[in-house]
Amino acid sequence: MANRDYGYAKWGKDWVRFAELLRQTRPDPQLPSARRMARDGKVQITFDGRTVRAVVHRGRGTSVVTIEVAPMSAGATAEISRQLSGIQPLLTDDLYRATADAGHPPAPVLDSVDCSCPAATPRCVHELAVYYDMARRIDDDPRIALDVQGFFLASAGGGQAPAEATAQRWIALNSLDSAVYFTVAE
Amino acid sequence: MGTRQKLPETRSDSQATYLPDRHMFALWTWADGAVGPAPPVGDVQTVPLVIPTPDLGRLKVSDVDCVLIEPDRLVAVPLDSPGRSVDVWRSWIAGGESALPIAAHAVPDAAGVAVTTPEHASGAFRRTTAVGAEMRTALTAKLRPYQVRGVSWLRETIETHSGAVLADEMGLGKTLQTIGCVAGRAEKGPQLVLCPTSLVGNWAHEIARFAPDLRATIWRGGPLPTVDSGTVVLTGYPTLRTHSPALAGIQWSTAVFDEAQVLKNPRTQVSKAARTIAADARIALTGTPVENHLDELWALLNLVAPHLFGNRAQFRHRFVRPIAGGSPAASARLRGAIEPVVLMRKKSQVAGSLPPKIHADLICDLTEEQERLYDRLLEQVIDDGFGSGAQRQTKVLAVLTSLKQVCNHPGLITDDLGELSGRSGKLDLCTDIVANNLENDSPTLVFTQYRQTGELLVRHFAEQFGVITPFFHGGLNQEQRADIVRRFQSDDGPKVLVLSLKAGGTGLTLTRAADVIHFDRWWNPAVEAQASDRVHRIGQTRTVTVTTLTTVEEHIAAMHNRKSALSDTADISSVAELTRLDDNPLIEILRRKRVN
Repeated sequence: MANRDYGYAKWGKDWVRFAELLRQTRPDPQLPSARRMARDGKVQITFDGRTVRAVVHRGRGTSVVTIEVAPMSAGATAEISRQLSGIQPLLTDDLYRATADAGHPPAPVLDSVDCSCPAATPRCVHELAVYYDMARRIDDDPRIALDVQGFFLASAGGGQAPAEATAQRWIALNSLDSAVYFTVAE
Repeated sequence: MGTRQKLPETRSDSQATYLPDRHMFALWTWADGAVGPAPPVGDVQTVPLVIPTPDLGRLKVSDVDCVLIEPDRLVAVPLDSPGRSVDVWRSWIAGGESALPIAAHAVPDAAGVAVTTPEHASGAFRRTTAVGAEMRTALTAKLRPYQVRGVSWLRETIETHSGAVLADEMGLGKTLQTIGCVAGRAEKGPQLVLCPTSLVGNWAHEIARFAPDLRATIWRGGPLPTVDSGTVVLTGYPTLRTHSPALAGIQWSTAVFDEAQVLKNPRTQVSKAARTIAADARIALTGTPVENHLDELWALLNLVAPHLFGNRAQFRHRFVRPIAGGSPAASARLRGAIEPVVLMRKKSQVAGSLPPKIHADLICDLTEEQERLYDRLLEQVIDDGFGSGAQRQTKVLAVLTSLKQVCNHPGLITDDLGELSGRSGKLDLCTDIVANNLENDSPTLVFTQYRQTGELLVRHFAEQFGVITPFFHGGLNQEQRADIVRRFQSDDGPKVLVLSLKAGGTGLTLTRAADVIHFDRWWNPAVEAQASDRVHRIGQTRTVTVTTLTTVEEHIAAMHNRKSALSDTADISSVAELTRLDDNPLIEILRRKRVN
């Protein structure tokens, strides 16, 4: 089933895989409506570190999906940092392949998935819609794929400073202390 | 929080924020938890900066009233109670290296979620200052601050990404900045400049003028001259297409692609040939607003930095489609993504370091058709002679006129006016400039001395752009003239106006345009200046760009005449000057100077 709208970049494809499991043998009737919900903007995602929180609207109801993403493995973090050294993180498919070929597939691992809906099925349509929406967002900006796995956090606090080039050019607004705006922090 | 007491309480403090792209400082004030009026030291401009919220709890991006000044002026400019940011930058100018407060580097990124780091701001400042000192000896021209930054940016970007796109607005001196960069790389090996054929002569002229130490060689096919360090080979895109193996066999230290939008279609032969050129650094220059042509932008990025951006389909999916769908987030994302390798500045952004009027003198080359016709006309004159007495003056004037018309367009002499494009270097260049201005919503005035040329321009613009261009000429009555001026000055008036130099050169106010093109040259520069002043008058708030189009032939003849025109005010006297010459020196002046 070729799907050109979600997962056209390798980074986004990882999230499509959560919805369209490889071990799945029969078509999942929930998938088309999950895709439609993602496409129609029924999914509103906010990030908090490695936690993805999504408000999903369906019909008159609203569900909240919470997904915890595991931190990226140290090996993958180091490998991607090495690949990115010197340049702005423009995450191409080539970089993905190179990282995977080096033995550190950057695909995310989910620690936990939880939905507030009362559905009894193991995977509800809300959850699937969130996977698709994540794929769409990551296709547009693959940095999210790293961000949600704590890649930039690790690099900021880890001392090994992988994304050195980014740190040189820009610094995130929310990491600055506005109290020392006019003076220099001691 | 103990740090809070350190904040200024009620005073109004002056702040200085370094704008790396322009190599200028934005001066602004902060009083009582808000931005105050800009310091009274220049024209006020709004610049997006990162500032604290009134309670100082958070930082946010906001448009701030600033005065932009050049680094040279920061030390001496009188400021009330200069804040820490001003002190620190003043110490940097004096050679110190103290730590920068956030206010000193508060330039936001495209998405508005990040600030320039102090390391980047101070590094860009230090490197640009060093490049400025170097350029004072390397080039014979004095660069403006943003141009110095352009040179240092090109160097930094080439070093990290081995490719760069300089997309400054037309008139800001992309050629000069590139020559500055090329001059600094002369020792690294031979360099190559590719441009439209009609601009090859202009590049040779500008390199000779600004960087006389470089050896510029024009190549039009045939065996390549021996190239070594210090050589700059200039050639046109058609030559690249037909002779690409010769160029591909050399490892160039730099390859410059001028007017790189001609390579927008990656499947054309010329684009394929461009990609075969082996160069350590690739620089693409374009004056068209690349953000409006995303496919074109992708082609440029793929040319200069193929490793940075994915394939075309992904680029379309990621940026082109959402932007076409009107997503502002996607535009911000695009600007953020291309920021490392694309530098684009607008005249309005650097207006503080621009004179009110920019002159761009472009020297165009003749096409082969024009060259043949020019030579044939001159041969005929040599056979016929100029005659003597009163008849001589008439004859000289007639010859000059027909030669100038050949330079404007060969069809004006041969009456073969079917297809107009591709036959006159000047017309093609003029069309490009007008196309650009149409896109930027900048109304343009085009002056010519000849009624026929004017009509040709009107027709050509209609064919090319589907715009109706009024023609202001001596054959119109007072009412028609007033009507054209009134329509042009109204906001939704025509985008282009063609004027006859003599009829439209005086008295009118056409300040809706800020761009003037002189399609042909008049002997007396004062007449041209007066015509340009139609837009550069009271009521004009933008920087006026005056572009003159000259062919090499006219250029030489005009230089000769302008010398005498300086002392004489009557236009005709310079023709009289020529008439006084003997036939041979006169022919010599008019003869086509073959470059190379």
